[in-house]
Parts: sequence; structure tokens; C-alpha cells
Amino acid sequence: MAALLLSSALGGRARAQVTKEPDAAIFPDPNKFARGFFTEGEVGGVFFLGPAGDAVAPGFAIGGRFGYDLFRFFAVQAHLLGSTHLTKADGHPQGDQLLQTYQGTVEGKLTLRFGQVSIFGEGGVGFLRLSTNILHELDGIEPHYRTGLQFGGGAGVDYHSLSRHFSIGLRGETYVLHDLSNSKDVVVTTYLRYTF
Amino acid sequence: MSSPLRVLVAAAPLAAGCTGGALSFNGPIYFDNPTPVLELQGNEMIPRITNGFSLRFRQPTQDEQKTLDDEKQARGGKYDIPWVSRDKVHLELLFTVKNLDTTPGTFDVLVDGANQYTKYDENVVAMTTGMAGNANDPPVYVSLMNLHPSPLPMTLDPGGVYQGVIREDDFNEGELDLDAIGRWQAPYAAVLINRSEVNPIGLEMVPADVVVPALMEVDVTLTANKHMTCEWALRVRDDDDRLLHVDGDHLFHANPTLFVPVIPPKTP
Repeated sequence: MAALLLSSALGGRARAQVTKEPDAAIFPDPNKFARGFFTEGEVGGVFFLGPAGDAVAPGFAIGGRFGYDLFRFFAVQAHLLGSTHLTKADGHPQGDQLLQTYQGTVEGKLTLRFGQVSIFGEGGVGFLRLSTNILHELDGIEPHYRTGLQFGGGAGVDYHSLSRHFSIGLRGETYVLHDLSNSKDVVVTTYLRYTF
Repeated sequence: MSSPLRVLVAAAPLAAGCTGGALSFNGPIYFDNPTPVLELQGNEMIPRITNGFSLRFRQPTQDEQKTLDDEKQARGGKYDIPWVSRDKVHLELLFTVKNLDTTPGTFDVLVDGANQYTKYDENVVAMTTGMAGNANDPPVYVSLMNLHPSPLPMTLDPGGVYQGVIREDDFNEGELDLDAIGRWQAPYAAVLINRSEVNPIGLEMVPADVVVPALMEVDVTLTANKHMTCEWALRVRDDDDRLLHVDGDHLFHANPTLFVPVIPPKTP
């Protein structure tokens, strides 16, 4: 009996053995961010440089993207953007006329992530469509057919919300408007992104 | 998150990106004035100058012609349905008048034109009525549409610029008046002077369900008593793509009849 009590008192509770330091918790963990198909909605502004800049005032823009993350660092995406402007033609009847532009591009996007924040660069090629021929009447800036080639790219910064699917960001892009007397347009937008 | 809600949330950014309107590509088409621009020195015997052009339209397709014929039959076959109609072709005139003189001057901008049935020229009307009246009286010009500046006439300072618009509703009125004069024997002065929605005098013969033809020809007249110029541009909204394009369209021919007022014989 005495031996039983002695062995019980000496044995105590069993304890786990720590053999290795646990990994430090990575927060946030980008691997937990959703990846794959994504959509973006964006609002911002568009202004023109070059000959079109002399004839078209800056305007409000709204657009969207749909794409797919092939890798964490690379995605392909389709982009549509519409913007509305007033023409500038002081002393001529074509001034202050509404003009809409519609832009569509196919783009590639490279991303470099630093935790919750990432920076990216993107570029592509597509089309620009004007809603009227008024830039033809204004010194022949555009041909009558009103749809032309554009190419270019830009960069931006993305901030992940940590809710797995959502992030917001800011981007700036510039496109060469090949059929608009090689004018350029600059697009600055803020966006909301949802990754499926 | 439930699946439908998840899809809705996912689509929201894209939907927001597409709400910039219906992305309608049916934008207006602008036509510049013919060159040279209208210019008066202000010392002309008759200080008026006019230029203009005709819009070119394509012929209706067989289906479109059948639709026109059906519409005509639906109205009892009593009158034509114009191919170039006011409800499909919408016009607006933008103009800029500049005073190049060193002293203030007055001006007015007047618009005449033709639809596919009738052409109206205020100079012809003024000449016709003038011949019937007293030779010493100055001619009276009554245009289809005019600037109606306020105060009338509009005074422009030296170097001044006036930008104006003769709007689509002004064209609607002028086009109704021209059709009334041409096809429905309306008294021209009565319908041109009065705005139809205020005083429809002279329009009694116009059927309520008439399809009003749009102007195919636009003629702009500048009057001024100083050295002035007038640039203008025509803005056309072409709902059904009836303007002529180069890719194989056939030109729609119209031979409008020049309106000449009937002057009652002088009583001895």
C-alpha cells in the first residue's frame, strides 16, 4: 500500500515534450487570399494629351475588368471603360458638345505583393470608340470611322481588405491612341476588386 | 454567404463599371458649314448672305419600303409616309457669330431648308410678296426658323462672339410648318410666325397622325450691319441609320418643289 502511494505521488501528470520552436504566424497570409477569376469596377477620370487634348476636356470615367490570375504574380484581364467629355473649341460652334469614349483592351498584369499591399504594372492593346465624329470636324483629328487602335499600360497599388475576396486600389494608365493623331489619354481610377 | 448573394456581390463591381449608360453607339453626326464661312462687311446693299447643304440619305430597303407602305395603308392611303421623317432624323444647328468690326453691330441668324417634298426660301417669298406690294416697301423676310435673340436685334460688341443653338425642338416646329405649307396648303405667314403648341393657327388641314418629314437641306442666312462672320455646324441624330454611307448604299433622290406664295390679285 505504501509503495502504491509513493509511486502515485512521484509519477504526477504526463507532460508534452517541446522539441521545436513553432513557426511564427504570418499575418496576413497572402496564400489565404482568393485567387483565380476576378472582377473589378472602377471610377475615375480621363484626360487627353496631344492633339485630342486641345479639343477635348477631361471627363468622368467608369469601367470594369474581368480576368484570371494565372499565377500569384501574373494575370490576364479584359478591360472596358467609358468616359464622357465636353469638347473645347473656343470661338467655334463645335465647342461644349458632349463626347463619349469607349475603350476596350486585353491586358497582362504583373503583381508584386508585400503582405496586405501589392503594386502592379499592366499593359495591353485594344480599341477606342468615339460616340460622335466631332473630332473629325475639329481640324480632322480623327478619321470618320471613329474606331481606332490603342495600346499602352500603367501601374497601381492594391490594398487587400483581409476578407479573402475583396481589395481596393488606385491605378493610372496611359494609352497611345494610334488613330487619333497619335494622341494619348491618361486614365486615373480607383477600383473595387472581387476575386472569386 | 449564400450562393446567389455571393454571385451578386461578385458582379457588383463589374455592374458598376457598366452603368455608364446603355453604351449606345448611336451618337450624333456633325457636319461643318460649307466654305467659305458666312461673312458680311455690313455695308452691302442687302446685308444678307446664305449658304447651306443637303444631307444625303440612302434609299430604303425593300423591308423598310414595305413598312412605309403599310403605314400609309394604315392611314387610309391618303398621304405619303416620308422616308426622311422627323421622328427618325433629328437636327440641331450650332453657330458662332463674331463681330470683326470696331463698333458694335446687330445681327440675326435665319434658317430655311427643304424636306423631301417642299423647299422654302425666304428670299423667294420676300421677292414674290414684294413684287405684289408697294415697290417702295422694304422686303419682308419670313424664315422657317431664326435665332430670335433677345433683345432683337442682338447687339454684338467689337470683337464679341455669340454662340447659339437652334435646338431640335425649333427644328421640329420648322419642319411641321414646312410640311403644313407644302402638303397641306397652310397660310405660310400664319404658321411660321406662330409657335404651333401656343397657337396652331393654320394647321387645321394637317392630319393629327401625319408623319412629318425632316429637313434634308439646311440653308443658313446671316444678316448684320457690321463686319461679322458666322460659322455653323449641323448636328444630326440618325436613329435608324438612314444617312448615306459609302459602302454600297444607293442615294435617295428627292425633288422638293420650291414654295412660292400665292398672291391674291390687286383689287382696283
